[in-house]
Amino acid sequence: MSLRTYYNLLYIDVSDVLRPPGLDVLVLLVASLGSALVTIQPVTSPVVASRIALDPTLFAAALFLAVRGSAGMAYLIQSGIINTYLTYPIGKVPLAVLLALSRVFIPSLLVLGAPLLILFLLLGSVMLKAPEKVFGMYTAFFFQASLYGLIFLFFALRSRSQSTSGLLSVSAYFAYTAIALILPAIGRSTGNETLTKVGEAMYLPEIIYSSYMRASVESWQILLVPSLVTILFIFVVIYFWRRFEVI
Amino acid sequence: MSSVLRRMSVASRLLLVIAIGLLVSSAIAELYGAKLSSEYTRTVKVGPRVASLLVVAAITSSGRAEVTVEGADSVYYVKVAGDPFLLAQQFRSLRLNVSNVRSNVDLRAGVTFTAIQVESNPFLVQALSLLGNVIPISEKKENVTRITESVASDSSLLIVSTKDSEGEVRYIIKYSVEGYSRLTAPETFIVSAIMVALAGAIEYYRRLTVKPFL
Amino acid sequence: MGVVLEVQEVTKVFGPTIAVDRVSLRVHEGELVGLLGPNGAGKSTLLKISLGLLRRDRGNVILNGYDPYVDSRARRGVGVVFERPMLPDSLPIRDLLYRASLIYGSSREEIRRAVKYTGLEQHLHKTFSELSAGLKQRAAIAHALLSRPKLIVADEPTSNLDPIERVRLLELIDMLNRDEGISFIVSSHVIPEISRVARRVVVMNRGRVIMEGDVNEVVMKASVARIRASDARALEKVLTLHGYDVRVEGINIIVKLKGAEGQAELLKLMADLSATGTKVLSIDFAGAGLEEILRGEA
Repeated sequence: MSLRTYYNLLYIDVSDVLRPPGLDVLVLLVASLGSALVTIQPVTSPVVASRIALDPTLFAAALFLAVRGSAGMAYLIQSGIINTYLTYPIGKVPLAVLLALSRVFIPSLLVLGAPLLILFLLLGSVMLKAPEKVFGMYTAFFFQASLYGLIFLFFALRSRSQSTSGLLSVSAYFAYTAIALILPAIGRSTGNETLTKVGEAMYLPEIIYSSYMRASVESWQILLVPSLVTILFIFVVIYFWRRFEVI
Repeated sequence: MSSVLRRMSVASRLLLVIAIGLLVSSAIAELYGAKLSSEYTRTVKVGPRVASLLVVAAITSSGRAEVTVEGADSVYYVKVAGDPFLLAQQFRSLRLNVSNVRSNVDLRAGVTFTAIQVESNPFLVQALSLLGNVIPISEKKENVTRITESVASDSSLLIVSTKDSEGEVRYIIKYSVEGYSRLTAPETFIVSAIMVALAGAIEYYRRLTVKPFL
Repeated sequence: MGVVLEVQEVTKVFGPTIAVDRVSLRVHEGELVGLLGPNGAGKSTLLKISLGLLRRDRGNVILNGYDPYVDSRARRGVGVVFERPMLPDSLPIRDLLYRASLIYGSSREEIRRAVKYTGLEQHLHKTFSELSAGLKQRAAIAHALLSRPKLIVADEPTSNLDPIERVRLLELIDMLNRDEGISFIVSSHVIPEISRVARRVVVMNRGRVIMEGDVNEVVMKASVARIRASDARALEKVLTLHGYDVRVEGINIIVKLKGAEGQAELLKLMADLSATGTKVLSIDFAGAGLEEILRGEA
């Protein structure tokens, strides 16, 4: 199959995920809010600006991925649109990769990218002081959003129900966030440094931010979330290929 | 509205939305935008057993702090590297006996000023050296000491004042933001207009490529 | 004639239920095969397995020379129309067909022809959800036609349509089969529809193929007719007097035919009765025959 085939199926599915007005309202809100936060205070560090704009955006991105990525995927299965996709002369593995792209990676890139784009336009001279660090922060937030998105996507494939996958996704998001907060707390109170570091590493943006702020960060802490994303991605593709069946 | 958006491509929709977002944030910036300077004055009681600490932490900005210390016998300062939000944690690890912490956050200038009373002992300066290089100020005019240092979101300024007799130390801080600039309102309007025009061009091109097929 | 689809001894089990039980069938080039059976007979499951959408537990499927579950090349040149046609709703039909044409590699002319065949010219600006049930089915067929199909798999394509739309759709299927030489496998539980378009039928019930062959032969094997008359009770008496095995079902009479010349004999009798004033509204051999086969199996 040619790349053109994949691109056009990706285009169709991305159009579904990003259909109006959901994406438009969300991007407008996060972009306005994120950029407003950096204009009401004189942010002079591109790293700090990225963090201020992307921290609330990550929450919005997670919600978007739960609703459009996960529940949207379940709708695709329930409605039978996935059957139409599967009738195209495209293998299940490339289709799984396309679905992960359209349901997780591309929305994450767009939702997180919108406020940053405004930041670059609005605070060009500040942001261009260290574009590589902005990219580093963006990548960190992207990996974090992708981690949530892939978990949500798996729930959708497994449950095939919009409401169930939506509920499971939101619950998983809060459970993950709670664990990432509880582990360092337990670690500090018991003096278990490993526990503290694991908890901290579960939120990659903070790790990258700390490393830019010259705090000591271990390399495995940087690699934890990207590794989880890679493992989950492979798992979702294999699940779709070997276990997933249409209704 | 939704049906109009439905017929548009993702790229042109995002351009439109970002153009609106840009205008919104520019409007907010015009109304409640950042300040480029901040001032703070605080008087702290000090004595042979109580020293005073002043922390100038630029939480989001960077700039230059001019600190005037009146009434202190000895003044030292430390540039502490790292995230200002972690400063409190670092400070706690010194296990100093702290009392009377007063903070003033000037969000619109992106800076916080914190005055602290701390138990004075011969090891205080030594303990503070764990946070960074402690620099004593020897120049003093009429019991007034002046320190001018840069602060940023990855380095804060900590000033220690001690007095051999009971009395007060007065801090006067003038903070000016450096390295900040943003688009002006007319510039924002022009950029937004360009983005809208770009969205229109994308839609026009799409119509040209898809329509001949049918 | 080459074989487009070959299903060999396929079995599919869902938990304790055997949905498809050792089913075999073939669809030749240019053939229109009707897959007939009541709800739950396993038709949709069999079609999904044939397309490689579902994993089979036993047996083989060869579509266009490849196993569709393993090799996506099998689905090249295969169009699909599902019972509840669902195409993505995010794009206008025009854009959707355009994108689908790029996926299938079909030309501008092929898009135009698909749109013309299905009569969608006036509805291209609408999204899929804005179409009526009939138009949705037509859009699904237009979409299927873009695959440059050698075979179209249509799973209960008329089930959500009103009677007029049903007739139009069946005519379209018939035309595509005759004029374009596209092979079809059309499933339905509505017997008259299948008997209207299919030259060959495969009758399924409870996951198994219970009868297969030329529509006429299958009907002849059943040897029954359904007669609708203005006075069913009176006609029942007359037919009984003539030695027919008869039963009344509502306003219809089901008549068991006698031997090889049974059809001709019954038609002659009905003509005579009409001449003496009995009003005969319809005589159906095909539908009744297939129904009888299913009934017998049940």
